[in-house]
Amino acid sequence: MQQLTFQVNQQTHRPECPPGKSLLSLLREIGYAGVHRVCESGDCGSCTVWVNDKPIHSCIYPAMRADNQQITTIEGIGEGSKEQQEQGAEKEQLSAMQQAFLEKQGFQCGYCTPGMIMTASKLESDVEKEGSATESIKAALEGNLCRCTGYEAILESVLACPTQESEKIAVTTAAEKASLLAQVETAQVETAQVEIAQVGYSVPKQDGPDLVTGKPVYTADWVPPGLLHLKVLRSPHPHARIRSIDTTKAIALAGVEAVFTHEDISRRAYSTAGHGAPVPDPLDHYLLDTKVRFIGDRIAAVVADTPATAAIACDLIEVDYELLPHVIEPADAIRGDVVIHDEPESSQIHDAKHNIAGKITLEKGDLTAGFAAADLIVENTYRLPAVQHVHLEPHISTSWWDEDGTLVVRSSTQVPFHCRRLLSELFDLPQEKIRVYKPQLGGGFGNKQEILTEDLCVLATLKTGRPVQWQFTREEEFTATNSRHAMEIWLKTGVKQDGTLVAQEMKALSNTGAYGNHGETVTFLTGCFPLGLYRCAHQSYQGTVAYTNTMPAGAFRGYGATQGTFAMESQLDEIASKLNLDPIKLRQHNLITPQDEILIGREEHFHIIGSYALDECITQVTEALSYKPTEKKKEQPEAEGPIRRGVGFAATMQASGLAKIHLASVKLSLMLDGRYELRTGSVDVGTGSDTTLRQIAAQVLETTVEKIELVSADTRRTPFDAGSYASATTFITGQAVKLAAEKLRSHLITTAAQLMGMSPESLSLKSAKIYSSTDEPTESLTLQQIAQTVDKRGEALTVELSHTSDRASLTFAFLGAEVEVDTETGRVKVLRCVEAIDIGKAINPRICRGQATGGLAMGIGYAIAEELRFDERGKILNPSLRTYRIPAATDIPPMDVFLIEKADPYGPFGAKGIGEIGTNCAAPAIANAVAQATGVRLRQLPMIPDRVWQALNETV
Amino acid sequence: MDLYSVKTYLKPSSLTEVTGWSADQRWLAGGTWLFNEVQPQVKSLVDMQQFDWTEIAVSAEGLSIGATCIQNELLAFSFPPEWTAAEALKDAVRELASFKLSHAATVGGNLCLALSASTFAPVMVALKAQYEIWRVEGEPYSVSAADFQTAPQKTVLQPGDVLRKIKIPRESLEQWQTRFKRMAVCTAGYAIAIVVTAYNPHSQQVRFGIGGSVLAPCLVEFDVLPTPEGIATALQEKTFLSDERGSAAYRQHITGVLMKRGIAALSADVQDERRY
Repeated sequence: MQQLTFQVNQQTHRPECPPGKSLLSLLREIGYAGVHRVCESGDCGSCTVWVNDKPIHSCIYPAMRADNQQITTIEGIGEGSKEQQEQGAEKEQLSAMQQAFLEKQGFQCGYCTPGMIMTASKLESDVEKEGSATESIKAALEGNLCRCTGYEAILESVLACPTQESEKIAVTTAAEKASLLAQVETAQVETAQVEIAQVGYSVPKQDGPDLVTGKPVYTADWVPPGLLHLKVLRSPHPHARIRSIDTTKAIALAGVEAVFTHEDISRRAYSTAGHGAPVPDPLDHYLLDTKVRFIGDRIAAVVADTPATAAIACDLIEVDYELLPHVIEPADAIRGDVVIHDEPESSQIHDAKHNIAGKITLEKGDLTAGFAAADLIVENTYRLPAVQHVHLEPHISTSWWDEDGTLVVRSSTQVPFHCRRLLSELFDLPQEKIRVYKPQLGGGFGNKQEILTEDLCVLATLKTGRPVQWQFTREEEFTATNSRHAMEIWLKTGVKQDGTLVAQEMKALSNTGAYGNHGETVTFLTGCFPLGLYRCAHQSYQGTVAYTNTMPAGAFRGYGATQGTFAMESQLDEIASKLNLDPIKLRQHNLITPQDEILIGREEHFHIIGSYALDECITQVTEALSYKPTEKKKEQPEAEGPIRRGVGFAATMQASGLAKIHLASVKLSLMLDGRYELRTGSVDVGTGSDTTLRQIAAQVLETTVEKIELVSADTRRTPFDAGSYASATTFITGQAVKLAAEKLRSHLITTAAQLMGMSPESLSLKSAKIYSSTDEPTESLTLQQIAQTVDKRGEALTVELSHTSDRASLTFAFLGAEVEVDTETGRVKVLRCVEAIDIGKAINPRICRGQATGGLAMGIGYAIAEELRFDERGKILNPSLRTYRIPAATDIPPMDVFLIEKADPYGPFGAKGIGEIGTNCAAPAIANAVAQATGVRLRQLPMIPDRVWQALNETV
Repeated sequence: MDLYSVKTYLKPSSLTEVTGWSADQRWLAGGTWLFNEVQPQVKSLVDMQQFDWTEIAVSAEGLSIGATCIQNELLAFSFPPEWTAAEALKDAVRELASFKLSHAATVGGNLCLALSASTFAPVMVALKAQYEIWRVEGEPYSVSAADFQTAPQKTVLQPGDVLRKIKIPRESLEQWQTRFKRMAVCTAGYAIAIVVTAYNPHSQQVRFGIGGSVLAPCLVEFDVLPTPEGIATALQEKTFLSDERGSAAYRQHITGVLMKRGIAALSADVQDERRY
């Protein structure tokens, strides 16, 4: 340890520093929480700070080098920032760049935001102009990754920033923040409307000021005193039985508090999947087991005074393994030569002897008769890789005993209530004794619909009595969480000469990895949605979910529909080509219509067509691309040189929430000051759903979002909500909020009527008053007066209700993509994307657009870049953001997004889900465009240059 | 990331202060690679910063770059205008990673790390650079850029050896025009092929510095503009890497493509893309 002296934002620090520490860790330890830990390899830029005014990646900067330097963090770039306030300055002022990000809402979850701002503020003159300002900024931001926005709003923010730091906006109090947000809003909405304009307007995300200033709002940014850190020893073998574990040396290490192995737990099977009870998943996972099933599986947990001590102690644990044969390929696994789950305690496994975690069969009509009637039968196999979510904020949770004997778990989770139930079951604690809550989330995309860190944290807190934190490293995110299910999908379609689909048979072999969490439910959607999208009398689907000795797969935006959509939408283009039909005409001929029902595999449907604007979506997209569907397929013009261009299309659908089982409860109250408090168990993953819910309440209550205080996602303080998944928050929780607000409004009017001695029918609620709409002069009571009067009676003006939807309305989307293929290198470049989403109603158009562009960017990554690469033992070869590349700003083309509004009868104000659907179409539309450009069909993702070049060569 | 196993951090003011060298010691130049992966075998860091080997020196013989020269210094440096090939050095910086990384990363660090994706190695090979190597114990020696690296992450450096400076002969900087071309699986990330083409319009000579795709960076020279067949023949003799990032066949193919595109751009005197 050496003492260093340096300045951060003009404040002197003299911390002790271990020799191998990164500047990132040191800055966080001394309180600069706006420096975010993400990749730890210098690739994502979330930890960008300035050393002597030069921006650097602090994660790869030796902290020892900070000695005698001047460092600036996000907390110090506004004039009159924290430090200067302490020296007497009155107001915190945003820098011009912070202000630009706030104005243009250049963020979603906000985890990349401080790094983006710290980088964008220092774009260098030596960064060459790449044709335009946008291209130049994109190139300069190569070292800054965002997973949420698709970069569009970020680029707009940087472009909007004045080069002179002239205009500053002062921010001090919450009220001023609100007024600032209102100003931002005013820029978007006409002044006259702003007072009540809520639903349908791009109200700024209410957490924006915190995000652009790097406030300590995320799980990692606050810890209780006396914290221990947890690390686990992970398996180096794909399949082995643990004969014995010797923890002696680890326990003896100074700073180690405890070491836990399978001997320290009560063995009970559970699923890491965050589902409501009764869970549909195989119960096949154990806190710590006597067997390991993939490279990265947990063996033992160490808690120690620092993460470093815990990590070193893990390496001191000696394990005697009995190596077992392993199986990596699903097709091999289901032969059952190696049995991955041979333990008797596991249950809900379809066929453990053959490593089949689940099996889905959906049928409709008579396949044989259907194929017999076909003029053309096309069959092919499509291969989809495992890909990773790469939410920038890693999994992290902290657990401790509260003073009143409550076990508290602060966690970055999409499912706090399911998490609480599971912890209660695992540790025999009553649910009332457990509080799970989530602070601001830095993205999830499904990977936080899993209970991956909370369980061992709680085990350690129960055993030691101490607060415990466990944060995953980026490598752990890549190797020991979950992926999208890798799949092999075989699809056979029979079609008439005129393009009428007569029979379709789909078989998916889905790799769920070592554990079955989400396996069957994901694989169900692979067949259900893509097949359901088309009118075809005879369809069958069989999904087989195979265990292998690889990292588990789990929930991931699109939830299986993404994989199935690739197969279906690719094959339709192949058919169109063979029949010499235009691919749009072929789709229009077969797509379901509002009169259709989706009955594959069931007697009565619950995925329903509430509203339908898919036809309009197609029109919008084709018109925007100046594409005229013709009766015949288009011929590729003669081209010179290696570059070929093409355009491709794809359609998809995704349900809004889970019918009947996705429960949302809300509590809405009028407070004594005349404002409202909305309590909801729902989780804003970073999308902006908290703002959306407040807009819904504000609209009904004739007020504005800042009058709606929100308390969310806390099992102690908010009513139950299933959580953030299945594109459910707006559709289900939003409807619950709307119903509660309507009930409260009518309650308020009734109460006021009573107080005013008037009939409720003669009264209206507007802004913060209830007034008589018939009398002159107008008589009125303020909400504050009503609340205080009722309070004196010892009553409260509160509505609490729960909502499930009997129907899950389908959202539809249609995408067109223009690509350029370099036939010499095999590089596929996406030039432009146009997507239309049948949204029902966009409660907040900008937030909806953000979901669309972010989903699309993720889909582009799936199409042309992303893939977890495994060796023959199932070890992941690219577990870092340097080797697993997610799209950077330069990879994202201009995106046109059309939100087609046709109100849905079941969603709040007609809204439908939008969280997932944006991802589904990108890969098939791009593959179709590549085929149109080159005549070569890629049936395997991602379409990386090597693979494309090989495919081009095979056809020569 | 934090390097948990590091126990000591030395900041010698000159090389003479460094005595002895053990296998668990590492030279710390910019640290941008050392701190980007777990390094369980590293117990001690020897910070080279105080050596102040950061010079960029222009002389009658040519250019000399100190090993710990921060990469971005090359972008800012005013080279003699007739040193047209100095542009290749700037391209090596631009194509390394984000400009923020190049605020900390050093030229020598990139070379000594000897990743196959090194952006500087093929430039130095094409410019026929010589590396001056000092030793903790023993006399300095010199090695050519083409002989320095033997395989990915393997160089001729012995434990305790340290790169002091890179010397590029004036002959390679004047007259020669260069183009830097690279290919990666994605648009960013580790290159799977890099070709630095240097062309002398007076003599028609062509030199290719090839990296990323081959076992070790190598030089391919032609006395006149090569034909596609000439390029293909020259590449047949090389050993191409094959790993999860790209097959040997593709790497060989793409190397040839980058060579042809380099010549095409140079002979037509156009600036085109550095990456595809």
